[in-house]
Amino acid sequence: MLAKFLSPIVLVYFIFFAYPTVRTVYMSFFKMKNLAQPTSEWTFVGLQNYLDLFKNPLFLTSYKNIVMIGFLGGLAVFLIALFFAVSLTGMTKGKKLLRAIIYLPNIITPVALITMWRQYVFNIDYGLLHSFFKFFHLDALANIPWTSTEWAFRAMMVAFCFGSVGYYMIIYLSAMENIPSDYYDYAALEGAGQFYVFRKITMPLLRDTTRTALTFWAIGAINFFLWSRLFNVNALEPSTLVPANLMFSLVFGGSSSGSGGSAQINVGGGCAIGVVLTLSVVAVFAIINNLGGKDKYEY
Amino acid sequence: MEKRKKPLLKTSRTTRNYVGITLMVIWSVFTICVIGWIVVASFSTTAEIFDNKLLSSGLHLENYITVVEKHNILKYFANSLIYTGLSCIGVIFLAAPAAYSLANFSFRGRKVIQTAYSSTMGIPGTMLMVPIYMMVSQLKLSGNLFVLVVIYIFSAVPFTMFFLTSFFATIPKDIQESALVEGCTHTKAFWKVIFPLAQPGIITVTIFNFIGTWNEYTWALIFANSSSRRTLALGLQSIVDGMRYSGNWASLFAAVVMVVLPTFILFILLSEKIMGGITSGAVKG
Repeated sequence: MLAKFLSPIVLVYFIFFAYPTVRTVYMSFFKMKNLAQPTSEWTFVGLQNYLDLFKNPLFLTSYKNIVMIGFLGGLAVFLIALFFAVSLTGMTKGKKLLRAIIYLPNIITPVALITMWRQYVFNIDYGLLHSFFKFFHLDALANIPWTSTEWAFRAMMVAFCFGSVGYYMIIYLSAMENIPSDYYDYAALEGAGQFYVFRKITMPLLRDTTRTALTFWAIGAINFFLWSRLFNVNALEPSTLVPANLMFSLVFGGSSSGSGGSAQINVGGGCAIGVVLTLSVVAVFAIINNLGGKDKYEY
Repeated sequence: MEKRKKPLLKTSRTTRNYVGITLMVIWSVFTICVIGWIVVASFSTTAEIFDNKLLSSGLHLENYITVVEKHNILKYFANSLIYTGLSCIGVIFLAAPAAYSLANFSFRGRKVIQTAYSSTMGIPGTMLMVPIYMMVSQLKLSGNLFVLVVIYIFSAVPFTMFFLTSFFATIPKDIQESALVEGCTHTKAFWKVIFPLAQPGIITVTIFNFIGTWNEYTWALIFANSSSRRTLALGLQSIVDGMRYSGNWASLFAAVVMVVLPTFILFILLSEKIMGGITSGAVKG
């Protein structure tokens, strides 16, 4: 029975996960004209694809962009999510409604979310921000061209982070609700202040949750793709470019993008980007798991 | 009526954080305004949108008619339904028996399978797409509708399996044993007794898979980007690209509404189940 129940998923693992991963690593050491070129005609170039990559300003910019998303975006998302989660634990009425509305962007397809932000919130003619600032006669703010090259990255970060807060808020909220209230009762008896309690009781007990959540966030930032691809009219515009997007263009060319932009096809170079991203995930994983001490709090 | 119990002490947990509540209300009002505006705009004309006079000439259902008639959106809708429906069913038949085995039996290789699958959470999709694209074209399957279904099934296996493993672990062993006493084989006992009992877990994980697959974009971009096989998400993007030239913003917003509606309804009906599921499956993973 076990063999019958488990062999399909072992097979799926090898076909869909293990083989492609190994194959991509292998391909990153070769140069090839395009995806259709037979294996026998590939030329082995060793680490050349990687060396080229680190000399490619487009790649370096794109990598810098995901670092920004990971750190700056992450800082904003986690601070807001934590603050919201703490605020929700003190609520009785309206808690479920607020929680649902803040989570809502997570169930909307990114294509629609991006369209809402780009075509409404950030629109310069009739957009929400434009009308809002105009109403208060803040013309300088009203006339910020959010989707221009200069502002696009910031606009994209704001839109993406806004949608992400709900997910992390819910993770924190349920972790906080699992902490026994005795701790809080004692702290209150001793006369501890709110912020002190948060720092000394809540945060240490949320360490494992924070680690898991940070890992999720980091993996999301490293694999950032869709927002970058669709946020700009030109998918390869450097200000919003990310590595996964560059890789997609190097491998499949500009034609299948749906929204403009093209790059020289370089399948091996694209695979090298994939490998660099995977190594980044491994590195981040190792760092986060060694963050903030090993001792465990039980409750 | 039962009176709400008043806590004896004012702790940080029972104190209302008015700054936080105010911020969350503003945050929510913003979300509602954006979605509400899009809905209203989808019933207005493009001129009204630019003049900030939404709905001043009544309801314009023709935006929706345009999207349906000129932009093939019903076809995309049907495509998404097929891809999502088939893959949501398929992944359960693949992952449920495996999850059951992992939850209830200890055997050599159990740890290996679990570790292997948890490592897939860290493998970027970019590592997979090139070889899989090549495999599909070498097998001369490009253009086959089922390629995307199979890919969606495979990519949903890790999450579905983890979610169901923790669910199966909560089903009492004696139920299983009583089925065996009645003379069922293990396989039969699973499908006839355990599988129906696992219904609540299967439904929750299917809601997640449905939303994830319905909203998926990248694999669809690679394997289903012709006008007859496009998913709704891809279709919306092609409408967005098209509208830039046609300038019909009202229809653009109508298309957005149509794309968002199915998952939105699902969320309104099942938001408690969805948000409960995030923490039970996703985090423990």
